Amino acid sequence: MHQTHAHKDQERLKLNSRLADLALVKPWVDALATEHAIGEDTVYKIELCLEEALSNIVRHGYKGEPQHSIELSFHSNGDRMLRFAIEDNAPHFDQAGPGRKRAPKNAEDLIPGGHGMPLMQKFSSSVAWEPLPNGNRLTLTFPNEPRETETRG
Amino acid sequence: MKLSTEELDGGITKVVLDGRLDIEGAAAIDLKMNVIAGSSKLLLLDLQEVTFLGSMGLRSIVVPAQAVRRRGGKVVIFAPVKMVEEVLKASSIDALIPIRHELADALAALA
Repeated sequence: MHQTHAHKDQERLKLNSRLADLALVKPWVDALATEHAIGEDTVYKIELCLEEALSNIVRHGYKGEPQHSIELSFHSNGDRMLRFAIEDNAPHFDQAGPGRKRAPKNAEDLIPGGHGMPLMQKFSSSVAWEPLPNGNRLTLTFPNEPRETETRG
Repeated sequence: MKLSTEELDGGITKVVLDGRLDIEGAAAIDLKMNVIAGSSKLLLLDLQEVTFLGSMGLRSIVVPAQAVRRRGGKVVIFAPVKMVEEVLKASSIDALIPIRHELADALAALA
Protein backbone atom coordinates (compact mmCIF):
# COMPACT_ATOMS: atom_id res chain seq x y z
CA MET A 1 0.00 0.00 0.00
CA HIS A 2 1.20 3.50 -0.79
CA GLN A 3 2.44 5.30 2.29
CA THR A 4 2.05 8.98 2.94
CA HIS A 5 3.41 11.18 5.67
CA ALA A 6 1.80 12.53 8.80
CA HIS A 7 -1.75 11.77 9.75
CA LYS A 8 -2.97 9.87 6.79
CA ASP A 9 -5.82 8.61 8.91
CA GLN A 10 -7.17 10.57 11.79
CA GLU A 11 -10.36 10.53 13.77
CA ARG A 12 -11.44 12.42 16.84
CA LEU A 13 -13.90 11.85 19.63
CA LYS A 14 -14.90 14.44 22.19
CA LEU A 15 -16.28 13.41 25.56
CA ASN A 16 -17.47 15.12 28.69
CA SER A 17 -15.79 14.10 31.93
CA ARG A 18 -18.50 11.64 32.92
CA LEU A 19 -18.05 7.92 33.35
CA ALA A 20 -21.28 7.46 31.37
CA ASP A 21 -19.57 9.03 28.35
CA LEU A 22 -17.06 6.19 28.27
CA ALA A 23 -19.81 4.13 26.64
CA LEU A 24 -19.15 6.21 23.49
CA VAL A 25 -15.62 4.87 23.18
CA LYS A 26 -16.42 1.28 22.20
CA PRO A 27 -18.48 2.14 19.09
CA TRP A 28 -15.80 4.66 18.08
CA VAL A 29 -13.06 2.04 18.40
CA ASP A 30 -15.22 -0.56 16.67
CA ALA A 31 -15.64 1.79 13.70
CA LEU A 32 -11.89 2.38 13.55
CA ALA A 33 -11.31 -1.36 13.77
CA THR A 34 -13.56 -1.95 10.79
CA GLU A 35 -11.96 0.81 8.76
CA HIS A 36 -8.40 -0.24 9.55
CA ALA A 37 -8.90 -4.02 9.80
CA ILE A 38 -7.65 -4.07 13.36
CA GLY A 39 -7.58 -7.54 14.92
CA GLU A 40 -9.94 -8.35 17.76
CA ASP A 41 -7.20 -8.91 20.35
CA THR A 42 -5.78 -5.50 19.47
CA VAL A 43 -9.25 -3.98 19.74
CA TYR A 44 -9.54 -5.48 23.21
CA LYS A 45 -6.19 -3.94 24.23
CA ILE A 46 -7.19 -0.55 22.85
CA GLU A 47 -10.55 -0.57 24.62
CA LEU A 48 -8.93 -1.71 27.86
CA CYS A 49 -6.25 0.98 27.83
CA LEU A 50 -8.64 3.74 26.80
CA GLU A 51 -11.10 2.79 29.55
CA GLU A 52 -8.33 2.82 32.14
CA ALA A 53 -6.93 6.15 30.93
CA LEU A 54 -10.30 7.86 30.63
CA SER A 55 -11.64 6.63 33.95
CA ASN A 56 -8.46 7.87 35.62
CA ILE A 57 -8.95 11.30 34.05
CA VAL A 58 -12.61 11.47 35.09
CA ARG A 59 -12.14 10.17 38.62
CA HIS A 60 -8.73 11.56 39.52
CA GLY A 61 -7.86 14.30 37.03
CA TYR A 62 -11.24 16.02 37.10
CA LYS A 63 -12.20 14.53 40.50
CA GLY A 64 -15.63 13.54 39.24
CA GLU A 65 -16.62 16.99 37.97
CA PRO A 66 -18.70 16.26 34.86
CA GLN A 67 -18.52 19.50 32.87
CA HIS A 68 -14.97 19.21 31.56
CA SER A 69 -13.86 18.03 28.16
CA ILE A 70 -11.69 15.15 27.04
CA GLU A 71 -10.59 14.75 23.44
CA LEU A 72 -9.39 11.52 21.89
CA SER A 73 -7.62 11.37 18.57
CA PHE A 74 -6.53 8.43 16.48
CA HIS A 75 -3.59 8.44 14.09
CA SER A 76 -2.28 5.78 11.78
CA ASN A 77 0.62 6.81 9.60
CA GLY A 78 0.84 3.66 7.60
CA ASP A 79 3.66 2.28 9.76
CA ARG A 80 1.33 -0.36 11.19
CA MET A 81 1.35 1.41 14.53
CA LEU A 82 -1.89 2.77 15.93
CA ARG A 83 -1.65 5.87 18.07
CA PHE A 84 -4.30 7.20 20.41
CA ALA A 85 -3.84 10.56 22.10
CA ILE A 86 -6.01 11.71 24.97
CA GLU A 87 -6.00 15.38 25.89
CA ASP A 88 -7.60 16.91 28.95
CA ASN A 89 -7.57 20.18 30.86
CA ALA A 90 -7.04 18.62 34.26
CA PRO A 91 -4.16 19.41 36.64
CA HIS A 92 -0.91 17.82 35.62
CA PHE A 93 -0.79 14.08 36.07
CA ASP A 94 1.19 12.84 39.08
CA GLN A 95 3.56 10.31 37.52
CA ALA A 96 4.81 9.17 40.91
CA GLY A 97 1.34 8.01 41.87
CA PRO A 98 0.11 5.20 39.64
CA GLY A 99 2.17 2.41 38.17
CA ARG A 100 4.07 1.58 41.31
CA LYS A 101 1.87 -1.27 42.39
CA ARG A 102 3.72 -3.99 44.24
CA ALA A 103 2.92 -7.65 43.72
CA PRO A 104 0.42 -8.90 46.32
CA LYS A 105 1.57 -11.63 48.68
CA ASN A 106 -1.90 -13.04 49.30
CA ALA A 107 -5.52 -12.37 48.44
CA GLU A 108 -6.01 -10.03 51.36
CA ASP A 109 -2.98 -8.04 50.21
CA LEU A 110 -4.49 -7.54 46.75
CA ILE A 111 -5.63 -3.95 46.57
CA PRO A 112 -8.91 -3.61 44.71
CA GLY A 113 -8.35 -0.82 42.22
CA GLY A 114 -5.14 0.83 41.14
CA HIS A 115 -4.59 -1.56 38.27
CA GLY A 116 -5.14 1.06 35.57
CA MET A 117 -1.60 2.21 34.83
CA PRO A 118 -0.04 -1.28 35.08
CA LEU A 119 -2.67 -2.59 32.66
CA MET A 120 -1.98 0.24 30.21
CA GLN A 121 1.74 -0.48 30.39
CA LYS A 122 1.13 -4.19 29.87
CA PHE A 123 -1.35 -4.02 27.01
CA SER A 124 0.00 -1.13 24.92
CA SER A 125 3.31 -0.82 23.12
CA SER A 126 4.02 2.50 24.78
CA VAL A 127 2.47 4.96 27.21
CA ALA A 128 3.73 8.55 27.07
CA TRP A 129 2.52 11.47 29.14
CA GLU A 130 3.33 15.08 28.41
CA PRO A 131 2.16 18.22 30.17
CA LEU A 132 0.24 20.77 28.13
CA PRO A 133 -0.04 24.43 29.15
CA ASN A 134 -3.51 23.75 30.54
CA GLY A 135 -3.70 20.02 30.84
CA ASN A 136 -2.21 16.71 29.82
CA ARG A 137 -1.70 14.58 26.75
CA LEU A 138 -1.45 10.81 27.12
CA THR A 139 -0.36 8.90 24.03
CA LEU A 140 -0.85 5.16 23.73
CA THR A 141 0.47 3.10 20.83
CA PHE A 142 -0.44 -0.36 19.66
CA PRO A 143 0.85 -2.54 16.84
CA ASN A 144 -1.83 -3.12 14.25
CA GLU A 145 -2.10 -6.89 14.13
CA PRO A 146 -4.50 -7.45 11.25
CA ARG A 147 -7.47 -9.71 11.75
CA GLU A 148 -6.29 -12.39 9.34
CA THR A 149 -3.08 -13.04 11.31
CA GLU A 150 -4.74 -13.49 14.68
CA THR A 151 -6.06 -16.73 16.06
CA ARG A 152 -8.56 -17.18 18.80
CA GLY A 153 -7.28 -18.80 21.98
CA MET B 1 -24.06 -7.43 31.95
CA LYS B 2 -26.03 -10.42 33.18
CA LEU B 3 -25.51 -12.31 36.42
CA SER B 4 -27.15 -15.56 37.39
CA THR B 5 -26.49 -18.03 40.18
CA GLU B 6 -26.84 -21.74 40.57
CA GLU B 7 -26.44 -23.79 43.76
CA LEU B 8 -24.29 -26.85 43.17
CA ASP B 9 -23.65 -29.88 45.37
CA GLY B 10 -21.31 -29.34 48.28
CA GLY B 11 -22.54 -25.88 49.11
CA ILE B 12 -20.94 -24.34 46.03
CA THR B 13 -22.50 -21.23 44.53
CA LYS B 14 -21.86 -20.92 40.82
CA VAL B 15 -22.03 -17.33 39.60
CA VAL B 16 -22.38 -17.00 35.84
CA LEU B 17 -21.39 -13.63 34.41
CA ASP B 18 -22.32 -12.77 30.84
CA GLY B 19 -21.29 -9.64 28.96
CA ARG B 20 -18.74 -6.86 29.28
CA LEU B 21 -17.24 -6.32 32.70
CA ASP B 22 -16.31 -2.72 31.97
CA ILE B 23 -17.20 0.27 34.14
CA GLU B 24 -20.88 0.00 33.25
CA GLY B 25 -20.93 -3.77 33.68
CA ALA B 26 -19.10 -3.59 36.99
CA ALA B 27 -21.61 -1.08 38.33
CA ALA B 28 -24.43 -3.39 37.29
CA ILE B 29 -23.19 -6.39 39.28
CA ASP B 30 -21.32 -4.92 42.27
CA LEU B 31 -24.23 -4.99 44.69
CA LYS B 32 -25.34 -8.47 43.66
CA MET B 33 -21.79 -9.79 43.93
CA ASN B 34 -21.40 -8.38 47.41
CA VAL B 35 -24.68 -9.93 48.51
CA ILE B 36 -23.62 -13.31 47.11
CA ALA B 37 -20.22 -13.03 48.76
CA GLY B 38 -21.92 -12.33 52.07
CA SER B 39 -23.88 -15.56 51.99
CA SER B 40 -21.60 -18.04 50.21
CA LYS B 41 -18.42 -19.74 51.35
CA LEU B 42 -17.57 -21.60 48.16
CA LEU B 43 -17.79 -19.48 45.02
CA LEU B 44 -17.28 -20.60 41.45
CA LEU B 45 -17.08 -17.57 39.17
CA ASP B 46 -17.97 -18.66 35.64
CA LEU B 47 -16.40 -16.10 33.28
CA GLN B 48 -16.65 -18.00 30.01
CA GLU B 49 -19.22 -15.53 28.62
CA VAL B 50 -17.38 -12.43 29.82
CA THR B 51 -16.05 -10.75 26.68
CA PHE B 52 -14.24 -7.83 28.32
CA LEU B 53 -12.65 -7.25 31.71
CA GLY B 54 -11.20 -3.92 32.84
CA SER B 55 -9.86 -2.76 36.18
CA MET B 56 -13.29 -1.83 37.52
CA GLY B 57 -14.41 -5.33 36.59
CA LEU B 58 -11.41 -6.72 38.43
CA ARG B 59 -12.58 -4.86 41.50
CA SER B 60 -16.00 -6.49 41.13
CA ILE B 61 -14.27 -9.85 41.41
CA VAL B 62 -11.57 -9.11 43.97
CA VAL B 63 -13.70 -7.40 46.62
CA PRO B 64 -16.26 -10.24 46.92
CA ALA B 65 -13.47 -12.83 46.73
CA GLN B 66 -11.70 -11.19 49.62
CA ALA B 67 -14.92 -11.15 51.61
CA VAL B 68 -15.43 -14.87 51.03
CA ARG B 69 -11.85 -15.68 51.96
CA ARG B 70 -12.03 -13.60 55.12
CA ARG B 71 -14.84 -15.86 56.26
CA GLY B 72 -12.76 -18.95 55.56
CA GLY B 73 -14.26 -19.65 52.16
CA LYS B 74 -12.77 -20.35 48.75
CA VAL B 75 -13.16 -18.80 45.30
CA VAL B 76 -12.22 -20.14 41.89
CA ILE B 77 -12.45 -18.51 38.46
CA PHE B 78 -13.76 -20.79 35.74
CA ALA B 79 -13.04 -20.67 32.01
CA PRO B 80 -12.16 -17.07 31.18
CA VAL B 81 -11.53 -16.35 27.49
CA LYS B 82 -7.97 -15.64 26.42
CA MET B 83 -7.85 -11.86 26.74
CA VAL B 84 -9.81 -11.84 29.99
CA GLU B 85 -7.35 -14.36 31.40
CA GLU B 86 -4.46 -12.15 30.26
CA VAL B 87 -5.93 -9.26 32.24
CA LEU B 88 -6.37 -11.47 35.30
CA LYS B 89 -2.77 -12.62 35.05
CA ALA B 90 -1.42 -9.14 34.37
CA SER B 91 -3.07 -8.08 37.63
CA SER B 92 -1.59 -11.04 39.56
CA ILE B 93 -5.07 -12.18 40.49
CA ASP B 94 -4.43 -15.65 39.10
CA ALA B 95 -1.82 -16.23 41.82
CA LEU B 96 -4.42 -15.62 44.50
CA ILE B 97 -7.70 -16.80 43.00
CA PRO B 98 -7.09 -19.99 41.01
CA ILE B 99 -8.18 -20.12 37.37
CA ARG B 100 -9.43 -23.45 36.03
CA HIS B 101 -10.68 -24.31 32.55
CA GLU B 102 -12.23 -27.70 33.33
CA LEU B 103 -15.29 -27.79 35.54
CA ALA B 104 -14.01 -30.84 37.43
CA ASP B 105 -10.78 -29.00 38.22
CA ALA B 106 -12.68 -25.92 39.33
CA LEU B 107 -14.85 -27.98 41.66
CA ALA B 108 -11.78 -29.75 43.01
CA ALA B 109 -10.19 -26.41 43.83
CA LEU B 110 -13.15 -25.65 46.05
CA ALA B 111 -13.05 -28.99 47.87
